[in-house]
Amino acid sequence: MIQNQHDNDLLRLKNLHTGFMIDGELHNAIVDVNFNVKPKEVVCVVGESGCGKSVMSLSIMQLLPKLNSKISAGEILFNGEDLTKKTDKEMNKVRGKDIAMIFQEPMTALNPVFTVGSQLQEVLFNHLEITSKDAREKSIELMRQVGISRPEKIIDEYPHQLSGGMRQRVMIAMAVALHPKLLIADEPTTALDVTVQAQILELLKDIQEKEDMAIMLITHDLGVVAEMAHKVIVMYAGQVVETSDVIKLFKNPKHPYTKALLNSIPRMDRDEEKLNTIGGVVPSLENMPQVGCRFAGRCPKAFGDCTKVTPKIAEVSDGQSARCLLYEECYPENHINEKEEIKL
Amino acid sequence: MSQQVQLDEKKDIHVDKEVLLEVRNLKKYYPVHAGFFKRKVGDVKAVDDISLTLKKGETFGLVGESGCGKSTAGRTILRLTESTDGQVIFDGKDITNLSGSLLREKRQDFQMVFQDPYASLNPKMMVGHLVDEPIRNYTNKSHKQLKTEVEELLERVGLRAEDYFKYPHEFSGGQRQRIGIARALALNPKLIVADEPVSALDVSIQSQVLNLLKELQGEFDLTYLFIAHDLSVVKHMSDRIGVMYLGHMVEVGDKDAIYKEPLHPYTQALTSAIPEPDPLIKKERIILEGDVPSPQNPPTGCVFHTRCPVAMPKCKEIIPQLKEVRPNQQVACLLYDKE
Repeated sequence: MIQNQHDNDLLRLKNLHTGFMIDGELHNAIVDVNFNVKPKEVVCVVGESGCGKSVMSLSIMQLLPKLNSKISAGEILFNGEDLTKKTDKEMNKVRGKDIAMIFQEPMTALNPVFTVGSQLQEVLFNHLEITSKDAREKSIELMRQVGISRPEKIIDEYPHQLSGGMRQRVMIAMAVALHPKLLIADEPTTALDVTVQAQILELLKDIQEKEDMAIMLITHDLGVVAEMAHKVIVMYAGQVVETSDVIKLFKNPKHPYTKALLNSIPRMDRDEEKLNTIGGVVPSLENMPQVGCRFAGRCPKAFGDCTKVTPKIAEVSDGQSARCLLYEECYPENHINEKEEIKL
Repeated sequence: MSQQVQLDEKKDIHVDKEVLLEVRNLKKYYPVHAGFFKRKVGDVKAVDDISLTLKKGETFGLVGESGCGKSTAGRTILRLTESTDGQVIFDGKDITNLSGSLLREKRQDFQMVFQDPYASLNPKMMVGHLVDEPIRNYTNKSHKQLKTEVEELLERVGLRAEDYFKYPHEFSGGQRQRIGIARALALNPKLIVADEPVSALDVSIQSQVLNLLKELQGEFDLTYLFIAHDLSVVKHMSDRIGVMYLGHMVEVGDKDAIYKEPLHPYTQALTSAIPEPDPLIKKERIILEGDVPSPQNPPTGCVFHTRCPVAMPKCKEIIPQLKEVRPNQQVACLLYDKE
């Protein structure tokens, strides 16, 4: 039964842990991440800086430096194949072709000493048997698709000659060149102005519909989430604390962190004298509590068990899962047994 | 109102008691040099003819996209950069041409909170010394006095008195911004220019700092010039908002008017472009074409006409001036020009 439910998943993370070596010790930056992305679905990952959103996306792409980081446990299933078991060579075939990625800062993601055209064509040469003339034509076509005017001219320009929005369009053109099934977009609009952000989001939506592609959009902006997502994953301190359908998330968030986050943004359509705040800061990797909920120290609803029992993520209502002891379902199994024993 | 405003005939200065800061036709051009002899070939018109008035105790928000000149405007008003033309009248006194000790004296009254709390604090200085530096510059207080004052300040902005002996790297972004705020408050200023004070911070921290700024405003009787690119943050903080585009002020008005009934096509596009954190709201979105033009070579006429969805032929020729179209709402757009 459970098997069937995940049969048509495009991407599925199972119990994923990724860690970094700090002073010879492995500290997990993300812990027990489980979620799935269905074909053609837009999944948004939200969280504050340092919550592990980028580490997760880099883990999927296997782009983390091997020297000081490690996927310490778990599986990344893409179309049923475990990406963690693939060699570099095999991954090179997946990257760019099946899974593509765009980054936050298009200036640092593009190579400043090559023209945008040659960088676009590089993607094509790597994966296709194609002549340079065809590659150039195809690049121009791609650039036109992502809304770059005068692509014949822009193709011979260098990244510094383009504006931020244009650069991000070039990145998107490179990413969608080979019709990937999944696009991972890591804060694609954070470095852009609002009016340009609106253009890029519109473009991403457009391409997603035309190409039937799934998008995993990583962002910290809840406005962007509301606009783009079908499903939302909320991360806090390296863990997924809530996964939910987008409408349910905004209407009825389950985890106290999600609630606090939603309440702390100033809203254009409301007048508030005072914003709600979340006290304190995210604990650092070395100081992460080993037992109990990671949000307990900042949580307005924390109670005794929160520092003693480590919650697991569980479905708390239809289409919404949370990791919070306010819900019976989230107590680990052995704990429930203990409780029942006491009752008996 | 008009009786209160009397013009000092000699200096042509308002003596309106209500007004703390008045900026008149402020311009800041940066010369561009090129060629072998580095001749001046043109100007980057970072701020081109803006005027604004700040009443005592109010918050004036300045919004716009990157490169529109909002930060330059803030810095020029405080005379951190010299203006090319125009007047800045602070507390009834023209500070545009003040220099030396007179300017130094005045500087106590206007302070700045910077964007990047990582870059604006000297990493080699103890927090206590960072905060008491302005006080030491202006007074001869004893070490003991300074320490108690600083400790009070630190506690007021939400840090602990023990933090006196720590260094900036020991703090998180939000806490560093609190240090920056304590430093700005140290001399009990009248005006604080906050230049993107929360844009480097996370949402949950951002709300803490915004609340703090609001609390302090009442307590210390402050007037804010609040500069930010995030319209929802500006709306939350401000009483009135000025929208800038490419060095020009295109619209000024009460915050509700700017949000609910924006008049300038740019303000309309800007407010509609902000993604609302509610999946059920479907906004009519105006998507602007292209990017902001370079301020070195701005379009003729109305600077916005190249991206404006309702541009008319005459927009290329005539530079629109700010005009009051509705009570308390001024707009610089030819659409509202009756002639």
